[in-house]
Amino acid sequence: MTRNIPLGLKIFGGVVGMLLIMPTLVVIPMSFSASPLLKFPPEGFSLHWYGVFFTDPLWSSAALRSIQIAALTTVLSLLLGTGTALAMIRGRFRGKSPIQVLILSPIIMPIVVLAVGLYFVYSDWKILGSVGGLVLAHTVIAYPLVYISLSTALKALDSKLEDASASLGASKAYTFRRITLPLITPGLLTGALFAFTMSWDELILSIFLTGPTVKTLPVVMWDQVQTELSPTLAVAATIVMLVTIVLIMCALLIGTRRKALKP
Amino acid sequence: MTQTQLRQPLTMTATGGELRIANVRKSYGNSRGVESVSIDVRPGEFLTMLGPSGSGKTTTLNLVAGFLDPDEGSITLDGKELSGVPPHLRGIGMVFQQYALFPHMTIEENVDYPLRVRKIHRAERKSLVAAALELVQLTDYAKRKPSELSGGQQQRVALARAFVFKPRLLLMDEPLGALDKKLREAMQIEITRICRELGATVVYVTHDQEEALAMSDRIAIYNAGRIEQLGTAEDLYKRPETLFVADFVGESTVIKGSYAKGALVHHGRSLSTQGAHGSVAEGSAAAVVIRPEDLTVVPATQTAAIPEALNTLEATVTKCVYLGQSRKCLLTTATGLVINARIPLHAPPELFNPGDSATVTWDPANSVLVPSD
Ligand SMILES: Nc1ncnc2c1ncn2[C@@H]1O[C@H](COP(=O)(O)OP(=O)(O)O)[C@@H](O)[C@H]1O
Ligand SMILES: [Mg+2]
Repeated sequence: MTRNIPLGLKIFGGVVGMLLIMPTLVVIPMSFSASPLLKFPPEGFSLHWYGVFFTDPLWSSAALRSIQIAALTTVLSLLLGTGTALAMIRGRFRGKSPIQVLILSPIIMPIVVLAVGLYFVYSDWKILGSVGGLVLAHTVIAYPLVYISLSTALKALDSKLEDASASLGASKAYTFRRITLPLITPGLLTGALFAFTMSWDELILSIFLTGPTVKTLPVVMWDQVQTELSPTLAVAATIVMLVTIVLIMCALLIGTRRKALKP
Repeated sequence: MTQTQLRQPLTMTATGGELRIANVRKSYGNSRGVESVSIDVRPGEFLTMLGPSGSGKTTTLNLVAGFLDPDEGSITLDGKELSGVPPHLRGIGMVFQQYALFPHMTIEENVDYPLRVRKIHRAERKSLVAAALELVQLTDYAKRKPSELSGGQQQRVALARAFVFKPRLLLMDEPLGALDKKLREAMQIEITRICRELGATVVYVTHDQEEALAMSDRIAIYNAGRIEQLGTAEDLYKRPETLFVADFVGESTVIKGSYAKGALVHHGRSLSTQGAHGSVAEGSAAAVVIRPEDLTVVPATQTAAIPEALNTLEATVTKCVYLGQSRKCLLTTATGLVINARIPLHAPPELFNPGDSATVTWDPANSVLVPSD
């Protein structure tokens, strides 16, 4: 695919890419700093701040909390996204396009507006600062991603295969288990990875909706940047970035494998 | 109805079921699917639905398979009403035009699928799958994925998968439509052989006339959501009942006019229909249909030898194509009628060059009289 791109354009693209990614990458050397001050370029080399990150309950519990919320968000998004995608692609009813717009609207909507709205609803319902509330909020913006990835997979799936399965004696449930599910699994995994990533580094909703006891990793980082600038912040940033990169790589890998499988 | 009631024991060899489609109607919202279709398919029969695209063949198959519900009418298999029985409990095998093989399973797993669904014992499944793959000559491909097979091979897998569970009825919707001509002809023979060996009742759909003639016991000609005529290839060819069938099957010449006193009046010219097959009402619009091989073409200069009892029309040769045993020629009369004839290779050379004048003659007893519109 890269065959037809002229060399000059490739170099230009590479430079722009590097410039965009550089500020992100500076946190890596900074996280290995030996000095107690967060600055660039870093002074010395030590793993001291990694030790602090994993032992200080402020950081480690926030990291665990983030994983918990992202995992729950993923599960909930998968259930909702799969259900909606199945209904939208396989169902026969009118008014699909307005419903589609509604499903995708959280992606287009400014998140800060959603955050303010949820803030007032949550304080009325008294679920501000709860894990459940946060999971729900993250699901609102994560499940459209699952929906997109799944409806794409379902659209690509030939419905004749399901007819064939029925003609061979399989019930609807059996067909779903043996035919539909295996064929949409790559789409399901991709959706799950996107949902997890979305929740994992989400800050705006989390700032509005977390409380003093339930804090996610990005929120703690935000707090710390305003109070105490220690290299632990760089450690946290590095870890957030690494997890995200690994997840996105997995999603891309699934995508290319799926393409390779097609006849 | 339970699954066991509808399924036949797998140890038995398949015997064909008797399918009755009675006055079935199905519309899609405002658009017509089929209107009042009735067919009785005899046990073990190979019946083909032949007709132009959009005439309702697929709709009929989907109604039988249970993917659609009829608005009216009834469909029974061996006397049991099928409406209300979901597709997976009908025990009807189906072969789809685009094969519809499961891409994530090997050939073997594809063929094994209907047996696994039925919870057949492992050892029996293994031998049934092996036997099915042998019948379609794909034993060596058992471990491959569908994407690694050619179109013809994939279609044979689809066939094996559809009959391995010994359905009493096998439906095939243009199974050879995606294959090239040569492969298609080989597969026609293959499918006919396999179906004969199985003894299953087969309902086969195609829009290819030659395919229908080559494979079927009987053929149902579809047109605009209805069956125009149901009969053997010979019935349809020699004794068409409607203008559509006459036109659709073979390459006949159709002469339209009005019928009066044992003759067809075509542009003021009276053509005898003495002894012709078929009958129409006196004074009604009618057409005479003549097969190419029943037409004789003679040079315009040799008309004296034509017997009195034969019909004649003067025409001009417009085009001739050499076919090996004869020439296929198109002639046009002064009234614009197009005549489709075969001219023997030994015919005088002044007959098959465009612009040559000729006289076309036929025995009225060899023509067919059908109502016209
Ligand atoms: N899902 C559908 N929705 C609306 N109209 C349909 C649908 N399927 C078929 N039709 C219409 O029904 C008629 C018969 O179609 P079909 O049975 O597919 O014909 P064939 O198989 O003979 O080509 C056609 O006019 C077609 O447009
Ligand atoms: Mg069709």
